[in-house]
Amino acid sequence: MDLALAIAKSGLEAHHKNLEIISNNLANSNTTAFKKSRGEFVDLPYDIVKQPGSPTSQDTNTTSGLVIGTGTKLANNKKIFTDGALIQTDNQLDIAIKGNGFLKIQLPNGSDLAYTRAGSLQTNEQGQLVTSNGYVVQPPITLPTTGLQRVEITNDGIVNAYMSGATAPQQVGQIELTDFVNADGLLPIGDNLYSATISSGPGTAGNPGADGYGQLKQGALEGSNVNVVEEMVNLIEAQRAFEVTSKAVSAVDNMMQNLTRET
Amino acid sequence: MTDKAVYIGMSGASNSMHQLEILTNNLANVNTTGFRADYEMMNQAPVGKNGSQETRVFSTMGGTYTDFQNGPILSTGRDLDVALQGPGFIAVQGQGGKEAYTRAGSLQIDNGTLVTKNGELVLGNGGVINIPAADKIDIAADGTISARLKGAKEMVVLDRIKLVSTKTSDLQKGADGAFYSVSGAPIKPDPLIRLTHGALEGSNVNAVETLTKLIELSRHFEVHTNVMKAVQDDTTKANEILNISH
Repeated sequence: MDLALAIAKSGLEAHHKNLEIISNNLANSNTTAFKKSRGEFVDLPYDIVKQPGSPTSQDTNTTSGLVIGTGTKLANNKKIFTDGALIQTDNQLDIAIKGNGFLKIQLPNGSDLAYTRAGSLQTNEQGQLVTSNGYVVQPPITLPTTGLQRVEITNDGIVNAYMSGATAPQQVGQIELTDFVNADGLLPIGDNLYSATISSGPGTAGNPGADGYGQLKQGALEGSNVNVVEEMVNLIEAQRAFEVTSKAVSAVDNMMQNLTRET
Repeated sequence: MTDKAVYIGMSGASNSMHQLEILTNNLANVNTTGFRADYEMMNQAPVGKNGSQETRVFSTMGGTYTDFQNGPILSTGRDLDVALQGPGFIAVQGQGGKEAYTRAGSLQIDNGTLVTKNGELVLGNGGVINIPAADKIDIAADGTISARLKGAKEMVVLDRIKLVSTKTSDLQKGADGAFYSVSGAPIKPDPLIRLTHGALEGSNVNAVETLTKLIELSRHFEVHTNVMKAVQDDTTKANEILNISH
């Protein structure tokens, strides 16, 4: 294949992938605690036809060589971990994390852990705190199944249960947060969950509000951090980039047609 | 026997294809952070000296050069995104451990070290920049990186990103797209270079200009193929006249 066509193809592919990323951001503009992704382009290796600085005579060198780029690709689409807006829900088991940290979740296969910031918690049939898809929050916190009137979760993660008939609350557990050296390196696995990778490092657990961990806020959820206006602008830009690159394809095509027609 | 003029048309057409590759690469990188557009230089190469009648002048590719104009600054709000204000480059470790220079400032932390989006190590005052576990990382306008370490109250200075400036003629694009100094010697840091953090510099490719050049190039190519066609027609005619069989 002609190099110019291959270059244009690399551009079309990368810009199309970028459209997918932007579409995914837009589709998740209402997903609890969703973190937007950003496509990151890099140029592909250059074809060095003539080395810069190669001698033109015994005493002189070329000031520039002949290097031809071979296109572009998407290097990564890192998650941007800025906080989303807090949305007041007044549901007593909804918690939002203000600042750093993730809730640790036990995946149903029994051995793997995952992390999430979507704090729309519920209780399962045993009274354990679980996420909306039924995964148990670690360390497990069990609420009393009978006689429970109200649950209070403090800023530093202490879960207090108010029982009917009792005046003083009963402390039933402590919600822990996990933080990562490099949260950008977490692997999103869907369902608002992330899993740790070598790049993110193993998480370190701590109590909310202490040592730089975020505080919890009961009765609120963290919204998506997708800015719809920004994504629409990105969409226009990605679309135009796709268009100009497709023009290059038609230009190569025209030139090739012309060549076969005229000779 | 074809007139060798057909090769002149061919040299023009094949160099047009090279130019097309360069233009297409610019277009493909219209969204690449910190990308600098490449342009080509054409040289004329006369063959022989037939008195005043020079009819055999080929075109050859002289070389490529890079446009070092700054691209637009786009605000992103991310802590580790930096854009250079005005001239200058961020020093990174490029191919073969040599010092390379880039303007693509979307930095990230990989295994506790500061790297670019390509994974090249960003260089500080004394080599690689290590970032311990921190709650907040800040990059100042002069490249100083400070962080509030896990559990600490105060910001501490970790290192300073090596920012350099040099004559653009001292830089050449390497095969990985980063810039290398022509002499091979590392460039001294320049304390006057300024960064903006929470922003990135876009590609400096002008899509309108590049598309216009693409149209112009297509027409050039047609001219070259027309020359080839004309030579072919002449040859056919000449062969018809010289044909002694009828």
